[in-house]
Amino acid sequence: MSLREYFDMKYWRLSFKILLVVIYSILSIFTYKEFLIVAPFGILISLLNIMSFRVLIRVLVYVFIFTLISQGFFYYGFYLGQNVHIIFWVIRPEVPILGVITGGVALTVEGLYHGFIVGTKIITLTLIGLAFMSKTKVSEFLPILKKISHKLAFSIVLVFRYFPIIMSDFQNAYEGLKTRGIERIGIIKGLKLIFKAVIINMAKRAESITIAATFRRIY
Amino acid sequence: MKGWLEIKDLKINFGKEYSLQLEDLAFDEDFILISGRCGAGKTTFLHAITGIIPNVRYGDVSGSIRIFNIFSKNGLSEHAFKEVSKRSFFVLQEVDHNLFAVTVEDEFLLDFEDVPQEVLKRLNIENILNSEIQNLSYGEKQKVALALALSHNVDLIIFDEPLAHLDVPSRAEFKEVLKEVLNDGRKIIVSEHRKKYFKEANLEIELKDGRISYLGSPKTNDALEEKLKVTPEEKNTEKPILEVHNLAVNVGSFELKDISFEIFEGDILGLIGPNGSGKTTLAKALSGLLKFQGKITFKGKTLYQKDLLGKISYMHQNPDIQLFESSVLKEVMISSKPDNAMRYLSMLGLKKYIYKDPHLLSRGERLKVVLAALLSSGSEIIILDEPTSGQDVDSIVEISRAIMNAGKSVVIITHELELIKAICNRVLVLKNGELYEVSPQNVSERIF
Repeated sequence: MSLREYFDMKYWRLSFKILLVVIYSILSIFTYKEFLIVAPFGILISLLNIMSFRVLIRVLVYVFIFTLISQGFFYYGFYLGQNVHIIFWVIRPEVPILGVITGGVALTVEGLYHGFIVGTKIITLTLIGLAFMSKTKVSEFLPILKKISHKLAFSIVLVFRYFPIIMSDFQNAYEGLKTRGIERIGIIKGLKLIFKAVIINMAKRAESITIAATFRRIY
Repeated sequence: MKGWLEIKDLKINFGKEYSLQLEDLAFDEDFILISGRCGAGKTTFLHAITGIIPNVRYGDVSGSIRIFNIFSKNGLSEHAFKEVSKRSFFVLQEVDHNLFAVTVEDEFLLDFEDVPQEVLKRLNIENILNSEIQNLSYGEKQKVALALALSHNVDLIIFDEPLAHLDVPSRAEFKEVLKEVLNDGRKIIVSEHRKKYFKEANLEIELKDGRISYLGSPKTNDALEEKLKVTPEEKNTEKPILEVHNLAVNVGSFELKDISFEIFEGDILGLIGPNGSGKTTLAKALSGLLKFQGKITFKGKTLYQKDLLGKISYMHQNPDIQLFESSVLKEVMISSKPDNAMRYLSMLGLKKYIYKDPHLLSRGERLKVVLAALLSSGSEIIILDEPTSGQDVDSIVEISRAIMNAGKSVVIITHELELIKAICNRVLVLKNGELYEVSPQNVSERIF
């Protein structure tokens, strides 16, 4: 496939989209200007099909909060001896044993700021990917992919189809357990059962897809 | 021996016992029907002759198989498996897995340069070309899979329980489609319990415990009606256990409005209606899985969505999402006591499997495991979504006995009208967004 063919008018939409994704991903990885990272949130979310990614978005919020907390309390600059603004101490370095082991733990302004930047970067990068997936029809790049390799086309098409389904597996298992007529179940036991079910279902699905793929002549 | 399919002393085992044991056989018929109870080895047979066992699924195979001109000893080799897959197409029980893309158009573009319009026209599915596969009905997905098979121009098409998820009119439609396929001179193998829909079959192979129990022209009478003959008991229908007032549910593409009804204590309520009329949506709203407007009263107490979840149990169409444990007995005991669990397991004919992994059972048996779990649990209202899909006749009888003996209020969503007539004391019909009651004796196929 020649480069000219790639930028053929037929594929300009896709090329433009991929270019946008690449540029914005690189930008949001390297920049530390919070405005540049946060500003496109609204646009990205409006592009998403929120219903199909609602579980993932909830997970993203947890990731953000966790990053904020972990960076806030364990900022590397604090341990490197940089001049940081301490909001409050959790463990002072003078405390016997714990203070010596940890070298002191404190919530710092710089740490919170760093956590905020890293957390928003994670969210932005994921949202870019999801927005690309929601706004791209597979048929747009199927012809290109098929020219490269039939197997590659198959696997990418499969990702588009099964990503939302696998995301909803946990929700389904939870609902399946709840509607079994169990009003109360311990968190640990419940989680154990749900994880078991999800893993077994994935394995079974893999087997079925292998069978189906063979009969579609994808070896 | 002549014929396109030849088997010599085929034996398959997944462990200690033989799951399938066949003597020398040769077939030349175009349309072969494989029948038998759940777990009799129908799927194993189909997997063995196409080479899925031992190439994808684990299994020890001995004996030789010849399919068309592809010959292999001790199960099909990897090369033979690929050769067979070029000349045949396997429509899986979960037809979703046959399809990989997001939209129907992509599905065809993945395999071909262009969309095969002629085939689509023949199967009458040109209008769904741009819709997403997730939103299609089971019958439509089946037709898309069949269209793929036809455009690959295969000689043999294999269906694994094609009727399990279809309602009555779709079943008739499926029969028409099969005729179309047969006219081309293709071969068809169908594995199905409901024999009465396959009168045109040239040959029936009935399997029982891994051996052939009948071989010959099809016996199409499955005698479900006679076996189900039990008159529904007169219920004391004075105490409503669940009252629904002006229920409205909205799930994006689909809406239900102004639904009002009540369930009395000990009711066995049939809920019927055409595919896509919202039966499952209604059931999910009742069991607390969907947001709703309106009022639901359970034993005089008004309940909100969160309270409903766990009070009313609901059996999903797909049994896999409700199976969690590593043995059948453990599975049922998640929500019930041992003696109660054993009672329902033996009633449903699952006693021999209690130490087996439920995920290794056949689909019909998995459904029965979930059913046993729900019936033996403490919940007072149970909603069963298609409990008889993919079940053989004897299993349907077992299921109906178990439901009758449970003494709970049960709502059954089903396409099996014989079952409704036999065990339900009330029937609700959901059609075009309206819910109305009919008497069980007046239920007929005209409702759909």
